[in-house]
Amino acid sequence: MLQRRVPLAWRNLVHNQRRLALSVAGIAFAVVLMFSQQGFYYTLLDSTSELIHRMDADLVLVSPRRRMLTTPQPFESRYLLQALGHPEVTDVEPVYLEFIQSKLRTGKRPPRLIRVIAFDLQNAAIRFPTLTDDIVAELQRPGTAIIDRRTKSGYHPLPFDDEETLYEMPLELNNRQLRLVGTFELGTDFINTGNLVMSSQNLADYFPGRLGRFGDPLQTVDVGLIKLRPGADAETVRAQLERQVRVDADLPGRQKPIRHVEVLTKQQFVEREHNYWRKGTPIGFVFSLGQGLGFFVGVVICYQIIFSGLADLQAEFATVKAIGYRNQFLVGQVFAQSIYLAVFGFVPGCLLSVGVFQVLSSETGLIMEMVASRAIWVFLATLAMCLISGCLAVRKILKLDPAELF
Amino acid sequence: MLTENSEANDNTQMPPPPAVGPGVIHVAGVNHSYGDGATQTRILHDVDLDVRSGEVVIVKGPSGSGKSTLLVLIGTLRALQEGSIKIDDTELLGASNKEILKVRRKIGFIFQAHNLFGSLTAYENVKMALQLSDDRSNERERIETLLTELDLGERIYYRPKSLSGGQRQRVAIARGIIHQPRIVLADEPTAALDAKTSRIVVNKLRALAKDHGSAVVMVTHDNRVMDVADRVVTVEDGAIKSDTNIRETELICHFLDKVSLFQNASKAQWLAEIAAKMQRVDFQSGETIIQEGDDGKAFFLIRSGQVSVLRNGDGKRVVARLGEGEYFGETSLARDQKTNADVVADGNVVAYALGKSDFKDLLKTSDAFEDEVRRVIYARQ
Repeated sequence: MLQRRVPLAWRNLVHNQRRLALSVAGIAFAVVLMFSQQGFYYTLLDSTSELIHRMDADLVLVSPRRRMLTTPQPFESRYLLQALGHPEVTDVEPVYLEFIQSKLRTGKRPPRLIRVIAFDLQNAAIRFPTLTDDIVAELQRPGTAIIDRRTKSGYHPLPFDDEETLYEMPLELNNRQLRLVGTFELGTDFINTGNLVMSSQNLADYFPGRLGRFGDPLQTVDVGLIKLRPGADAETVRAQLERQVRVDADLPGRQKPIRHVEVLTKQQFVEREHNYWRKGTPIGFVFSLGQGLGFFVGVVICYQIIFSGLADLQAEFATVKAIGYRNQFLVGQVFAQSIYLAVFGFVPGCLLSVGVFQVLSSETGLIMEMVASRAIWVFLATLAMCLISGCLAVRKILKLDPAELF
Repeated sequence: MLTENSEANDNTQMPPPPAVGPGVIHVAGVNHSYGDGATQTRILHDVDLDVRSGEVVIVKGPSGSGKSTLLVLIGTLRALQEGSIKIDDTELLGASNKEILKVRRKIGFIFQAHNLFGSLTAYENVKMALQLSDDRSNERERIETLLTELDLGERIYYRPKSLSGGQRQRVAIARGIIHQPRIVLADEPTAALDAKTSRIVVNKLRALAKDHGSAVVMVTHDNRVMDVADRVVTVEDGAIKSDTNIRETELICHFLDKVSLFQNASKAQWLAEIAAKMQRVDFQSGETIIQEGDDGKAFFLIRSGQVSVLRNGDGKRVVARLGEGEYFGETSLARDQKTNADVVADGNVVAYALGKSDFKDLLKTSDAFEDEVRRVIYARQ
């Protein structure tokens, strides 16, 4: 008959409830710290790439000098027409982004930069659920736009809860009157404090001298969206287009071919954006380090908890060794306790983090979501954190000399 | 040599010889030191000790004498440096971890500090020891019974925090003996107990030795419990100063008191000293105890069984038979002569032997005893 063993690790853990509460609080703190750092890190990536995710495209054309979405590195629209010549390409759409010159004045407050996104609204080249036919029709009128409800209220104090008032607000974009006709949700990021969506024509009206390099403002494209025939292999087409759109770069007389445009899959475009923030900015490094620090702080907290618990039970564990328990038993006790602590600390830490994410998200407009896969990662990190702490602390009881008992 | 002894004693009131089982602990030539180089301090010097199954041995000695070190080495809690310790034929010198662990599980440790887990009930603390045992049958019943026997029936499911010092110590004792260990090593087990509970505890240890054949080695200075000891071993300066078999010494004294050889000189203290020097010797049936013509080696007092005295004439001839309470071997010792007869065990014989040098010492220390010896020898001629 299988006989139950004394659940020593469990009993030792729950015996002193005050200590247990403090231990759980300590580990929950470390969990919140890791979640926060991880949340900031992914917010950085998610927020900046959210617009790309919404683009309805299989491939994109961008300037090779564009290191991230917000930097003004456009290309000439004729490359889109070149791409359209490829037999697998069914449609191309230019996307215009304006950030450097676009200043929105709210009432009498000083104007603040806001990102303007423009594209062919009727083709819904970028997916915004609130972009209904009525809104699209409204947006065809001059001087109209819709605004991101998650625009930072500190910079652009607008009454999003009262749409009637919102639409009557006196607004100026680049010193020209602007009328809001609707809202959408996209979110801010670490550069953009808000977003406006308008028709391409309105963009041309508001920013006539937009990088006047190519004459017509609408010749200056920021991102070209390419739709392929169903079943077409995106990578194959990408490679073919890459050669095709570089023809002019290989014209005779050029010492070095100049790449004016680059063809990427949508995923490559997302990765390029992520890589820029991850590796090209100190912010990415800071948040990566933050995660590591959260883990390290967690290890230290957890070690202190487990160590002090074991320190109080040295004579008892020495007795257990003396009466014939193996070292494996002692290690098992410490690891079991580590696992219990990881679970006990993770649950409140996770719940608390959900709250923290909601507060931060609503206050900043950044995208902070508790995603299951990331939560699992933090749980595994918590488990590792507690087990590493257990490994460090267990040396204390492995070194115990039961001979000292006599 | 006496060939016939007319002083057969009235043995009817004598208890049988103490039943001792096979050796469980065998300590031989153990030296142990702490520290290295110039700071090295030798704690044990050439210690020999045997403890048999069913024996209760009390170890005493001043603080720092080495008794705890001896317990630690027997308990496998520290590696043996020199000499030999065998536990049930398992040599501890150079033993593997697996062997050490196996030995430890044969031992019941009772430490001076109870070291109970505060998070566990008395029942669970005891169960911690039992769950290492191969035999976990009737677990609950056994634990509850033992705790009840130790007067803790009302406190079985209490945590140490709710127990008095004495109750905690009894729980620790229960933890040490619940698995009916081959060996119990106890360090001042009654130090925290009152007279009544001390008695309960030592009686339990005594019963464990008697009923289950455990070898109990107990360090104690508690005079209230000395009576449970079969032997008292005194350790001083790292060496065993004396190893007195209490039970057998009592019996030998009882015998000696009735032997005429010692009657003129009989004083309790003197008899006890003689008795303490006598060693129990077991002979198998047919074994020759004394060979005619040899040098006398010892004086023998028969505890149980019978021997035949044979002399050469026309072949070997039985000239006498000696039984319980009778003795032989003193003539050749007193006169420094060769033995004049064979003495052979008729069946299994238990005897107490006093070595030649000790016997000679007796002759020197007591004129009365020497006179008595001469008288007896004369009478036997």
